[in-house]
Amino acid sequence: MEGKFLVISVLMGIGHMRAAYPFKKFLKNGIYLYGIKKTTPPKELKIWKKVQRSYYSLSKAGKIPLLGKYLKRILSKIESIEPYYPAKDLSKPTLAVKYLKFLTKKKNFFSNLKKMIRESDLPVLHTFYATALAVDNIRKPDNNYLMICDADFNRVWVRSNPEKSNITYLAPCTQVKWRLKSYGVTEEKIHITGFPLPIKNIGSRDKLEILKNDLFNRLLRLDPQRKFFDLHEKSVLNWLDMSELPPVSDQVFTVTFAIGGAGAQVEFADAILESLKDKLLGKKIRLKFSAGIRKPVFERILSYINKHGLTEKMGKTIEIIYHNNLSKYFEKFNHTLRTTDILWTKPSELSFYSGLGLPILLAPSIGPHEKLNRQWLREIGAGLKAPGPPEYAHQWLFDLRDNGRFAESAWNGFLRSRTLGTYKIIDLMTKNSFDPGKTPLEQ
Amino acid sequence: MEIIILLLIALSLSMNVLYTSVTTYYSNKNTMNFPDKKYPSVTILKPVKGIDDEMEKNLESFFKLDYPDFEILFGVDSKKDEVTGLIAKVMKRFPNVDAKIIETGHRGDQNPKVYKLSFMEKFSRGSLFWISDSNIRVEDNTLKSLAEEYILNGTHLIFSPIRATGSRTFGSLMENSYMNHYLSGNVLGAWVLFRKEVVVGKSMLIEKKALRSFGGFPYFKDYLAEDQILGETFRNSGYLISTNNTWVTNFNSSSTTKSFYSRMSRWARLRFNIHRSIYFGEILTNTTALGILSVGILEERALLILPPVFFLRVILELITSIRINRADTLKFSNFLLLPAAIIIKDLVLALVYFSPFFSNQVNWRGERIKIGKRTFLSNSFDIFSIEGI
Repeated sequence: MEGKFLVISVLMGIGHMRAAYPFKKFLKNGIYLYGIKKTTPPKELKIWKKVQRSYYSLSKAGKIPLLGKYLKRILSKIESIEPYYPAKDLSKPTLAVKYLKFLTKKKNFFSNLKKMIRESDLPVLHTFYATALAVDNIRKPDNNYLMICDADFNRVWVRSNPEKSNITYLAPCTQVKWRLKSYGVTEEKIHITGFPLPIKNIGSRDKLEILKNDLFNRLLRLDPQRKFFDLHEKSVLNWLDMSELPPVSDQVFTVTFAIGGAGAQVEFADAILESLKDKLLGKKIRLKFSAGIRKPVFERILSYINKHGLTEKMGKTIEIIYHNNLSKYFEKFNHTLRTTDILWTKPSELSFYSGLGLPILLAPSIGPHEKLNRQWLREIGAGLKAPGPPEYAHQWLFDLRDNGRFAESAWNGFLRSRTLGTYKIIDLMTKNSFDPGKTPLEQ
Repeated sequence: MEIIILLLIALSLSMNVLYTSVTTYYSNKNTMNFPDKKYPSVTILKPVKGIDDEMEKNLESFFKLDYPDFEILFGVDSKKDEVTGLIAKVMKRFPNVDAKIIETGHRGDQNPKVYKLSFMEKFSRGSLFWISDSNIRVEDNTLKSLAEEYILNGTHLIFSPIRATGSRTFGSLMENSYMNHYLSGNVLGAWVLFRKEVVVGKSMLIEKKALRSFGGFPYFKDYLAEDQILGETFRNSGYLISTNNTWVTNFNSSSTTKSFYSRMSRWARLRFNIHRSIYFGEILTNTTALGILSVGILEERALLILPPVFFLRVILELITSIRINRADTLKFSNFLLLPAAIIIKDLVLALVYFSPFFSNQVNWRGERIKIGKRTFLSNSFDIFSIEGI
C-alpha cells in the first residue's frame, strides 16, 4: 500500500497534522508539510509564518488584560460560522474565500505545491483547506480529497463556485455533510469517513482488539460502583466480546489534560494541580499533561508541578507528554491515550477521539468551530461539561466518576462517534471506494 | 545632550563601582563542614578537546578534591586526541580516584558540548553533576563548598563567579581582567541586587533528578549558549538556582588580542540573541567608549573630564584585579601593562559590541555556526522550521 497516495498538511497548531499523522506509515516520502523552507518559496514562507504567528498570538489573546476579550471577539469574527438553523443557502463566497482565491490565482501562491502536484497523478489527501483549494483545478475529480478536521467549519473550506470544484470532501461526522451541502457542495462529493484515528489505538479493522480491550478496562476504572454497568452490562459485554465483569475494585484512574498546540489554557494546569494535590499524593488519581511540542509550555507545567511540591510524583502519578519532534510527540500522546480514562481538552479535533471510547471532559473552547465541536460532543453524549471550576476538580471529578457519568460518556463516544476513519480513508484513496458501515464496529 | 552624556558616564562609572564592590566583597568564601551530614555523590563531567594552558595542573586540582564521594568523567571526541594521553597520565597518579575517559564522538548538528554531556550522562552514578570546563582549576574544598548550597537550601543549580588568572600575554591580561571585573561582577551583581542568575558554563552544579525531569542534557542540545538556557529553563520550571559565591579559577595564559576579540565577539552574539534588551544596555557599562564619544559632544571640555574618568575606570578594575587575582596582578610586568590593557580592552569591547548587528554566525572550535533566537542552532528542529516529520 505504501506510496499509493500523498498527504499534504500544515502546521497551524497541531490539529491538521494530527489528522495527517495516522497515514504517515503508508506514505513513501512522509507527509508533505507546506509552510517550511523545503516546500515553500521564501516570499510565501514569510507570509505563511506571519499568519502562523498571528494564529498563535490570537489563540492566546483572550488572556491579555483588558484588551483580551476584544481580541477574542475579533478572532471569533474572523472564524465565524453561520448557525445551522434556520437552514439556508450559504454558497455565496465570503471575503476570506475571495482573498484566498486572490492569493492563489493572482499572487501565484503555493507554486511549489502546484508543481509537485502536476508531476504526480497519485490521489492527494489534504488536511487544510488552502492547499486543497490551491490545486483544485490541477486535479481530476476523485483525485483531490480534503479532510474536514472539525464538526463545523468556516465557508473558507469551500471554493467560491463549488459546482466547479473537483475536491472530494471527507467528513468526520454527519453534521459536516449538512454544512458542506449548505455551502454548495454536491452530495456525491462528500463522504462520511470519520476522523482518522491512530491505528495503534484501534487494532485490526475486523476485530478492533486494542480498542475493545482498552475500553473495557477503562470502563471498569471509571465505574467503581457499577452504576454504569447496572444499566449497560449486557451491551458492553456483547459489543466488546467480553464474557463477564471482573470483581469490583476501586482502581486509580487517569486523567489526561491536553493543552492546545498554541499553548492556550496552560494556566489550567496550575489550578488542576492545586486542586488534585492531595489526591495525587495519596495515589487516588493519575494526572498527565499533554504539552505538545513547545518547550515553554512544558516548562510552565513543570514550574506548576514544582510550585505545588509535587516534583517527587513526576513519573509516578504525574507525567508530562512532550517532545520537540512532532512524530515522537504524537507517538507518546497516542500511547498515553490507551491508558487514559478521561481526556480533558478544549473541543478541538480531539473531540473525534471520543470514537476510541474516551470520555471528553470539556475545557473552554477557543473559536466558533470549537463551540460547535462542543455542541456535537454533547449531542452524542460523549462530552461532559465540568460542573465546577478546575479549582474544585478534587470534588466534582470524583463525584462524576462515582456516578458512572464518565463511563457513560466513554460508551456513548464509542457507539456514536466513528472509529475507523483511517481505514475508510485508506480504502478510498487506494481503491476509490469504501464501505461506510452501519454498526459501531463497522464505522 | 551634554547633560545626557555626562549622566551616562556617571552611570557607567557607577556600574563599575558596583562590579568592584561585589567582586571584592564576595571574593572569599569560607567553607562550612558537615561532619555529620552525608555529602551527595557527585559526577564531575569534563568535556574536553585539545590541550589548554597548564591543563595538567587544572586536571590535577580535580583529582585532589577533598570530597567523600565523587567520580570524574572525561568526554573526548576521539581517543586520538592528544588530551587523552595527558588525562591518562594524571589518572595514573591518582589511582584511588574513580575516573574514566569516554569517547563520545562528535555531532555537528547540535551543541557539541551538550552532545558530549548527554553521552557521558549515561555513564554517571552521582546524584549531582558538576560540569566544568577544561581550563578550570579548583581548590581542595571547592566541591564541598558548592555541595553545601545544595545540602542547606536544596538548590537545583548552583553557579559560580569566575576568577581568571595566569596572564602572560597582553591578550590574556585583557581577557582575565574582563572575566574578573565584568563577568564575575555581573554574575554577583545580578544575583546580589536582583536575585537574577547569570549562569556561566565554566562551573555548574546540577541536581541529576531535576535535570532528568527534562529528559536530561539532550533537552538543551539545540542551543549554543547551553549555560544561559539551562539557567533560564530551570528558573522557568520552578527549580531553585543560586550561588553561594564559591569561586572557580579559569586558567588562561596565552590568549592573544585576536583570540580575545574572537571570544568576546562570540559571547556578544550569544548574549545578543538571548536578551536583546539587556544587550542594548551593555554599552552603558563601557566607560571608555562613552568617554571617547563625549569628545564629539563636549569638544575641548572633554579633555577636562576624560582624565579623571579614565583614571577612576582603571583604578576600579585594578582594585578588582588585585583583590581577585592578587598574585597575577602584582607581577611587575602585569601591573605595568594592566592600565593599558583595561583601556584597550574597553575599546575592543566597543568594537565587538556592534558585531551581532551584522552577523548571526559564531566561530566555535573551528566551526562556523549560525544561531537564532535564544542561540537556537539553525540546523536544529524548530516548530517554525520543521523539515517534514
